[in-house]
Amino acid sequence: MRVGFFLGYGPQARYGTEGLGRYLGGLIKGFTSEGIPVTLAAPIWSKKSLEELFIELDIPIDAVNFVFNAKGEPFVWRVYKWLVLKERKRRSGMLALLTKILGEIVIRFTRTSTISFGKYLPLYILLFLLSLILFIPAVILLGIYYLVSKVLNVARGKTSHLKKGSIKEDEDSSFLEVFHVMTNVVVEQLVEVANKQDCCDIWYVPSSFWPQVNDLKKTVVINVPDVVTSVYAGEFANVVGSHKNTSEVKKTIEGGKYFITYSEYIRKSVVIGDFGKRADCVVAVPHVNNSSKPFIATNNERAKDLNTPAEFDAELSQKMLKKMICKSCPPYYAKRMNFEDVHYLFYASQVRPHKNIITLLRAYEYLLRERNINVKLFLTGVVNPNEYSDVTAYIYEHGLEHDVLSFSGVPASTLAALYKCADLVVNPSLYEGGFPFTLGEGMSVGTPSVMARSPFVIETLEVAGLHDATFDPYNWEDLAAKIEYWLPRRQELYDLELPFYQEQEKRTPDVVARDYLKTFEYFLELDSKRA
Amino acid sequence: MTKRVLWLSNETWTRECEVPQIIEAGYEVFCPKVCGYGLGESNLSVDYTYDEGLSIPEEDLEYLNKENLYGKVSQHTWEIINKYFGMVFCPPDADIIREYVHLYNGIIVLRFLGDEEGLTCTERLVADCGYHLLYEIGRIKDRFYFAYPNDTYMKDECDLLRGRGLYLPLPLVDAENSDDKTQIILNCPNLSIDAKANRQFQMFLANMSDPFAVYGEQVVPYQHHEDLILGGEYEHMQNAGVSIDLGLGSTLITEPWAQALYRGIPLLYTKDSCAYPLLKEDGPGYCDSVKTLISKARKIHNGDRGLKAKIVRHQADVLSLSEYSVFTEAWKDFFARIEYTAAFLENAMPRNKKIGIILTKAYKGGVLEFTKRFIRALQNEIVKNGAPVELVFAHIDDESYDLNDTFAALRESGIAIRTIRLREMKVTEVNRMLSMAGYLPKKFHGIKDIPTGIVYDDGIHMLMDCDYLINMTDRSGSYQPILPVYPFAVVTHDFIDRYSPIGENFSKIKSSDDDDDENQKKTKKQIAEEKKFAEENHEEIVGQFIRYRREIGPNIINARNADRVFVTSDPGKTDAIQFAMVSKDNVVKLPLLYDLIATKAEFRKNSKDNDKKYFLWVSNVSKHKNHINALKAISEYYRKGGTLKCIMIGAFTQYFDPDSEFKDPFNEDIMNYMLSVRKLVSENDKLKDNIDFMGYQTEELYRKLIQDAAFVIHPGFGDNGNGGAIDAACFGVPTLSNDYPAMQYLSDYANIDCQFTDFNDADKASDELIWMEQHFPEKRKKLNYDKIKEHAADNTEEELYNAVSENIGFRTRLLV
Repeated sequence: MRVGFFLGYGPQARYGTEGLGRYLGGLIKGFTSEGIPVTLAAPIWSKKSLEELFIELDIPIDAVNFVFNAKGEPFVWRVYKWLVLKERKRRSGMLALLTKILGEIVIRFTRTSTISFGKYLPLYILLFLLSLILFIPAVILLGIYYLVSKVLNVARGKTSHLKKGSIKEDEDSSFLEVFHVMTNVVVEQLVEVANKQDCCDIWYVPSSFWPQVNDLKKTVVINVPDVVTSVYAGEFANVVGSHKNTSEVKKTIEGGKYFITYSEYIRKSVVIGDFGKRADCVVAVPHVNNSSKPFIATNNERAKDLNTPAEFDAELSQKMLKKMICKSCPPYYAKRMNFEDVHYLFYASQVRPHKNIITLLRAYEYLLRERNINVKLFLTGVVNPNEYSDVTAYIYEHGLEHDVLSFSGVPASTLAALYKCADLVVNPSLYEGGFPFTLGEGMSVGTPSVMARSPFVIETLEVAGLHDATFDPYNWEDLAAKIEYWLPRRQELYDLELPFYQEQEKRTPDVVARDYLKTFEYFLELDSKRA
Repeated sequence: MTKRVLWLSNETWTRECEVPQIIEAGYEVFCPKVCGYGLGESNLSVDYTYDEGLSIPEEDLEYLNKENLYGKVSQHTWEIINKYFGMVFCPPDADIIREYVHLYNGIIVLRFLGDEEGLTCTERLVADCGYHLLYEIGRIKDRFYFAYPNDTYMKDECDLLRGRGLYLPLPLVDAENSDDKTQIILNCPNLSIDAKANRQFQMFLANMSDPFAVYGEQVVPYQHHEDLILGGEYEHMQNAGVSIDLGLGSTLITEPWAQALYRGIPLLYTKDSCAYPLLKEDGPGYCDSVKTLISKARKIHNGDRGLKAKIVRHQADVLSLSEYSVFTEAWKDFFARIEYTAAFLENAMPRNKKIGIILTKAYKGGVLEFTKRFIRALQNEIVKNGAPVELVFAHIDDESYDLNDTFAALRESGIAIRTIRLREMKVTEVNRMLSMAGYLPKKFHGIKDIPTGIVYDDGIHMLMDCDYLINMTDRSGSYQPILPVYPFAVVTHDFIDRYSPIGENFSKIKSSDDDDDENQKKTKKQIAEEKKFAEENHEEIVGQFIRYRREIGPNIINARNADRVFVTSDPGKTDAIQFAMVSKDNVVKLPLLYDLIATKAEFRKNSKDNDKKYFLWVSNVSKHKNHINALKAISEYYRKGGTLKCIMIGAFTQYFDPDSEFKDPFNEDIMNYMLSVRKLVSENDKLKDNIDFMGYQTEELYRKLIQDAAFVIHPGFGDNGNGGAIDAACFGVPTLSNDYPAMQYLSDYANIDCQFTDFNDADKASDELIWMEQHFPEKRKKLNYDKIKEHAADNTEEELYNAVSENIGFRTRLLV
């Protein structure tokens, strides 16, 4: 069996820093170690990011056959990068050179003029003329740049810096439409190119954003992580383009035949229940266990030889925390933070409506101010004080910006350190595609979790008899009570969750990859029978 | 004193190179046995060998061997160090140096062998501690030396370090060179956790066809290419024929690097390599690209002896490593210079350490009284201990302060008093100031970060005659922080903003066009103008938003920049660590320093009188006094049959009276709050009839009101506790308090046995009020005057003195 991965993500996707990348990497590694030939079809703009991912995960580039839609990136995207993302190496080099030359002229002029003006007069004139020659084109170029960017700003509805990057971008922005069309065209191209090559027997599509994948000629297996925007339609209503994306997801599922989900809940209630797919064509393959340990597990034996007071794992984690940059708090607070001996609750998640972060904030504020529980709350979602979001507003309106700190975009090793040093992991999420990674990420480095009773948690934790470690996600007081109860009983909670975690831990990347391969074989057989 | 050196390092290779040289110069050497650091450092070890040559008492040696000398050490350890060691070799660790500058009386040698991030030593000290460390080093510069291994490592330092610079060559052992070795060694530590190192390794792996091995400590074991990974142990370099350092921007001279040099292993390096500052571009080992580097490595690997010899010769020339004897002579010279200067200064005139105690605002009440008690206690103990310390008191120039009245007692005790004015220093001024004072590096290797802030101008020398300042609050007196160029401590009384914040309406920063209804009423031109304004003033709008609680920022910055944060309770300490994120080593707990307002006779007399008509509420108009919840609880108390009246006292509390017509606001927030309290009272007859809002009282009346109260209530939260509870206890009057950590601490510390309840729960708190009405005579019996007196200011002066002197250092040797 030859397996193909189909990735149609837009140019903004960064595989190396996101969970998605690690998930894909784990599967690719697992498949190649089983001797399965792997093809990876992706838009050309993902090339660099995928290469970075392969380096980070130590996967040889030649272990995989790459298929790209074209040799070069689309013209529209290149223009956008040049003008908006400012990926212009040449420009900065030119400007730097110009500044350097002008600076040198000024310095030399100053130096020589203090010695003898008359003697160097012809030189001054020459230098002056030279600087004019360099200066005038620079002014003209800057003028052109200014005009072009003005026109472009108007074209994409960027009229105020306050809205830069905000989710409240102009809905009818022609720019977004162009972006959407561009991505669609590229995915269509990619399907065409993939169909021309006999590179695999089965295509695995790890997301359901691209209806075009149903035109792929081989057996296509679509992953349905969730349809969260459909469940939380009201909360996502203010996200530009969310309805279009949801519609694409629905189209993809509607047109698909074979599906993989991360949980029984999504399998039954969404793919079979909402979309009426055949039960035998949908298989739930639970997540891999995401262990944080490999990132921070040091040789602690050496610490003993040196009579070092702190264990090396903890010292390493503290070192990593020290390097983090906090962008959620006022700038003055981000300087010279000392993390040693700071106690905190931790929730690693993006800021999304269904993540239920406001409930966590309510509970936290109550614990801090009314229950005198002296801990901080660390998050990893983007909380930008210059942009409006419900979470940011809550934090600042309630004066919590010095205690609720968010460290976004941290690398996997720092994330592991954050888990290691946390007092308690809290997951208030209402909805996930599968069992939340946060429990394993924390437990692997000794930090237990309290978790919201979302359908997937009920499916697993509750069944495992860990009701006491869960809370009603719609009741912040229940959440607060659980945190208050377990904080001083951290070890007890760890011991309670350990048997469950030990089972979870068995889902290593190899095991999960084998599960996928078995599922693919099953679908291939089914497909041949159906054909 | 016998010539002894405390050699603060656990690095094997430097110890093997340097310690014999120190012994050769006639010194005994102590090496630490507890390695307080070590993560990511190659080749660390603990070595007892040199203990044999030490002539200090066995028990002291044993004690030192168990101590972590890299952290904050005990007072006893300092006694041993100061008693036996005349010189210390310190690594460039700002925290360690700061401790030695404060508390050590011998010669400090700062041994600098480069920096992991490529910073100068000046930048490193400033980044980790602040410019005030340089200020303090400047004060003891006669016994401070900056030992650098090569001019390259000294030329960009600040004037202060350059002035104290002494050449001390690169650690070197008399080793064989490796003419016949050919193995290619790539120096690449921490592949698992350093993304840049990993990328370099992957790139090298992809391009290098010849066999090679990776040298370097892997803190987190690297799971891939295990056959290539050697680890960071010393012996792995023995087969090296060529050593490669692609560079991570570090200038730190590490063991493999130095080994390559002194074993005659050719080093191939790039611009980012730690070898670059020394060997530069003109060295034959320099490679401008990975391609060149690989090509040179392969040449050497394949037996190009000419290239190898050329590189090795160049390395030896640059570092003058041709002869081992040159190296040993340089070490001897180093000690000779230090000893000569020490002898020269032996009879120099010592001077007292001058400590400035400052009040940056015209405080009345608690802070002012605490300051006076603090100075009094410190001065008493300084005299008692004969400490070479002089106190200076500087307060803000304010007409409400009367030298003959407010500070009469301080004047009488002989403390010099000055007035100060705030002066804001802008970046350009600070830049000039630091440059002229000799604290700016000649060249920045990292980001130039110049602090700004407030200095205190006493009209004489901006308090710079003081060696150290203690600010009696964490407030700078302005919306700017204290300029962190002086060494200063702050006294943090509480972090009330954490528990009682002034929320900001975030929607204020939403752009105007979010409000569609409002926009419809505007003309297109108006909307366009507003958008233009928002765009042009974006930075300012955001800036205002960020600084909305303008006082909190400077307070936190002050606490972070302070050399020490003094607190007066355990919860205060926790908040300094948790909220302000200050290192726990910098937070020092002082005694509460409370005075007793009644004599034992008054206590006895009053304790017998149980005929009481009211309970007393000592408050002010701050939100954290929890008026609304407390009034609800008191209302419930009357509904449940409570009979005692309630008297509220405290500055401006008379304006809570619903009949008050006071409308001139202190500020909008406080006025709105005041109106909401008035409304609550005016709508509730029970409260209206039973509560007396009496406002500020003179000391005499205050004493009288406390004396006659059945009990005192304190419904507040989030502060450092209410001193009114101690005042009441001095008269045998118990307190019913809201339950929060600081009040629990105060109750235990002062032995005043407060009764606790939750004033946010009206039902529970009202029950407790009823209980107090019925049981206050029994509660009074539990109060014991002698126990309350146990921790009063007069009895904790020594504790205060020890806490301050053990951190600031009262016996540091300073010269005139």
